[in-house]
Amino acid sequence: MGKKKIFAGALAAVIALVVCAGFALNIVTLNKISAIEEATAQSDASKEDGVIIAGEYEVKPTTQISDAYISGDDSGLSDIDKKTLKTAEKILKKTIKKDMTDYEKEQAVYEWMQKNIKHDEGMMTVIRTTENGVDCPQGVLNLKKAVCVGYATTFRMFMQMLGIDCMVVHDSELSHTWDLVKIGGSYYHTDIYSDTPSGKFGHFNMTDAMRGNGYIWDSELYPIANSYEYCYAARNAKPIDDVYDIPKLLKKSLEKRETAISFRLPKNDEKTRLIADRILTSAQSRIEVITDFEETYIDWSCVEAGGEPIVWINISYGEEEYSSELDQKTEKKIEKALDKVFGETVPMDEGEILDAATSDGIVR
Amino acid sequence: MKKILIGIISLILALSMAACSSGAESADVKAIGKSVVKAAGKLPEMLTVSSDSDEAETLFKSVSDMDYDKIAGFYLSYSADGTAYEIAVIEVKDENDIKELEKSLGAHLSSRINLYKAYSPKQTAQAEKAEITTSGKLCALIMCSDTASAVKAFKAQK
Repeated sequence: MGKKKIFAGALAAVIALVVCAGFALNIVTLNKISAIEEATAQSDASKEDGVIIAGEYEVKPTTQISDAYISGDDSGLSDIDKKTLKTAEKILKKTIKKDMTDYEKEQAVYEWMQKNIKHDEGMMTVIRTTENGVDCPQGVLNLKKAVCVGYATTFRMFMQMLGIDCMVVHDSELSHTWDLVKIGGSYYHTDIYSDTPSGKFGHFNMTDAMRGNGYIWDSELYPIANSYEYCYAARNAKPIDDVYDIPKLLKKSLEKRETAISFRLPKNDEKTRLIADRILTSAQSRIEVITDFEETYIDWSCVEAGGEPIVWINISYGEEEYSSELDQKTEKKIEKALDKVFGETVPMDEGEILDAATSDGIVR
Repeated sequence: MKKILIGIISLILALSMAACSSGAESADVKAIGKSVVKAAGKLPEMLTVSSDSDEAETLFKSVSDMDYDKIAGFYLSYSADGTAYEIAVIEVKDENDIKELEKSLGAHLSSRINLYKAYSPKQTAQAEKAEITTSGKLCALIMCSDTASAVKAFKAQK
């Protein structure tokens, strides 16, 4: 009788343990799911600020700094904002002249940022190693590097300090941000991140049609940008007499290492646009096989600017991080000479890298 | 009666042990990963992590949202500059989970392609040529300049 009781008790205990373990596992799983749902719901895409881009970078307000600059009263600012204001003041003092128009001021700040702020590569690696602050002016002006949110919010802060209306735009997928700046009564899209480090003016003062190339944004939240008056591509478009001149002109631009070019087509019809598009599609594959341009990438679109057909081309050359004191041709010659004697470069033995791994598993 | 009780408890323990590790033999994921990297053509500076790391579970989440308890081991090598070079070799404990792993790597690849489209369009073409392939309990994501050779090296592993 006693033995039976012991047996029944032990069996009940085992069953109870199994049931409890299952229940506990379910609770853990449910908690995990609700935490993910909560994080997703936190980002309100219907506002300009407070949006979280790429699941990580928040678009934060910058008016406290620009307001302090305009009013000359920084008493309400935090220490970090005071420091940011001082740095921003110095930059504006250096880049902005009294008699500049809004367009010239915008261009001066754009050029300063394009030259001085580098991409934060950590956001592109599979395991992210982003530093804190690359998404806001407080960090960007100190670190001199930024993710797209950092470029957009810093540029907006400068524009607001200069009394120029500016908004940070985010795409509907919450993957990218840029600026919408008001010049001469109309809005234009400017994306400094996409032009850094080597695409100068490729994404400077674009219309909705030009920016729309691959991006969708909330058209109720952001004003329309359809003026060509201060659109960089339209203002700088070279008129061409013959659409078949595009290859020759493109080659010349490549040789001059130009990064943004635009042509005004001779005719505003579908066939001319198709020919231009076909020429550029074919040009891309031909450029890739030329030794000097093997990493060159062209991106283009045909747009109508005030009733005139414009072909707008962005060129990137693939030596973005090139920092040698020698020119590229000499560097290539050196590589060739070395390859000839020692064979082509082989990747480092991964074993060596693994052995050097730090405790967090990331080799630095 | 004691014998019966001991027998039942032993059986439960044996069953739970089997449920925890239905994987039996485990492949040398690190060695396979290294051989795939060697076959991958010219690579930029690469960073490497594996299931040996103290932070293995957290690191694994960078490539897959699959439950880490289902994973026997992984090796991940990726470019230090964020360009489109990535080799991941992952082994599941139970072969029945390989489809789930393949699907999760597919989702990771899509998000990488979208990231390149948004931030580094030049890298998109290479990312789009990436392959996800399986062999038994192993699954590999291969994104490099010589995908064919790297896939061949992966498939050659036993």
